Amino acid sequence: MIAVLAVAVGGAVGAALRHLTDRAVSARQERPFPLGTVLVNVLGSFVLGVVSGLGMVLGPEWTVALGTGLCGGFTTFSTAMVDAVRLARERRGAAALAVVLGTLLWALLAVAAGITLGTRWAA
Amino acid sequence: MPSLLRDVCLVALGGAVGSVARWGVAHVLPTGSFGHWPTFAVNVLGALLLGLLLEALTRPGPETPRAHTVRLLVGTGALGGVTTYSTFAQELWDGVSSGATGPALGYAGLTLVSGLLAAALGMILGARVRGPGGARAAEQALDTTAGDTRTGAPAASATASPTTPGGLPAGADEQPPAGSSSTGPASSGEHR
Repeated sequence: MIAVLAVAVGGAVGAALRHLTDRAVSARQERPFPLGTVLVNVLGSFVLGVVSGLGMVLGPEWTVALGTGLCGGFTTFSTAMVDAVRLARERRGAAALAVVLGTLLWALLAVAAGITLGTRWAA
Repeated sequence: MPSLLRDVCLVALGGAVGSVARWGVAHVLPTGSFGHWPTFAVNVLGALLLGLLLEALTRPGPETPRAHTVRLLVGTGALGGVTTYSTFAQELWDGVSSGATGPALGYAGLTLVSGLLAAALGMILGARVRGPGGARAAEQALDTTAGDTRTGAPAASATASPTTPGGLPAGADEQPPAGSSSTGPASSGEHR
């Protein structure tokens, strides 16, 4: 039960932060490119890496609240896919490809960096 | 309530529901030898439903207050929150760092191709829901289930939206999931 609550609260905070980040980023853009979505996904992947690197230090409740809840709610796969399809529909194939592959590569690097950092802090 | 605060509360409420649903799927769905089915399932299904919802809500002209509420609560909140990029990325990295680069690349390709196709399919379906009659049927359904005391009868929405082309009302099963799942939390989301 505590896990459900932890996921709910983490997910609520994560989604709210995602919305605010996206608003802040897209407010200072003249050409619509889903930079906000890319940013939250890369940043969220980094934080999840840190959380999983810290592992035992955090304990199971905090791990599920921050990992499954906060990072899961902060990052979004669905928006990235819809953004990419919309770009492709506007015949901006390069931008669509940049969203799909760019996010993937940066998120992988971010997770790796996060795990390395988290493991070091936990030691 | 200030509009930004209201927007953030709607997204947070949806995000809580979406995240718990994702957590639930991860506990219910067997992972199998592949290990990533729960993440794959929520991500692809979420992409389909988000594409459907956003496309169904798209109308010519400025966004109506109701469409705005549904988009933030169900779209940005629940469907954004039910999917996850961070877990996807972590699963990929776990594969790569443990030497299973081939399977990890396969998982990445499968997820991305399926996700793109699902989003595109959802958008096609959403455009059909929005099409003649569908949008009005969805609006009316929202009106009747919302149960608030806004200016009167369900019929008011049909007359209040001149951009909606007249047509046959669509079947009730054509409504986006927004209709059924949003109205409850939407009214209670105010006092969060």
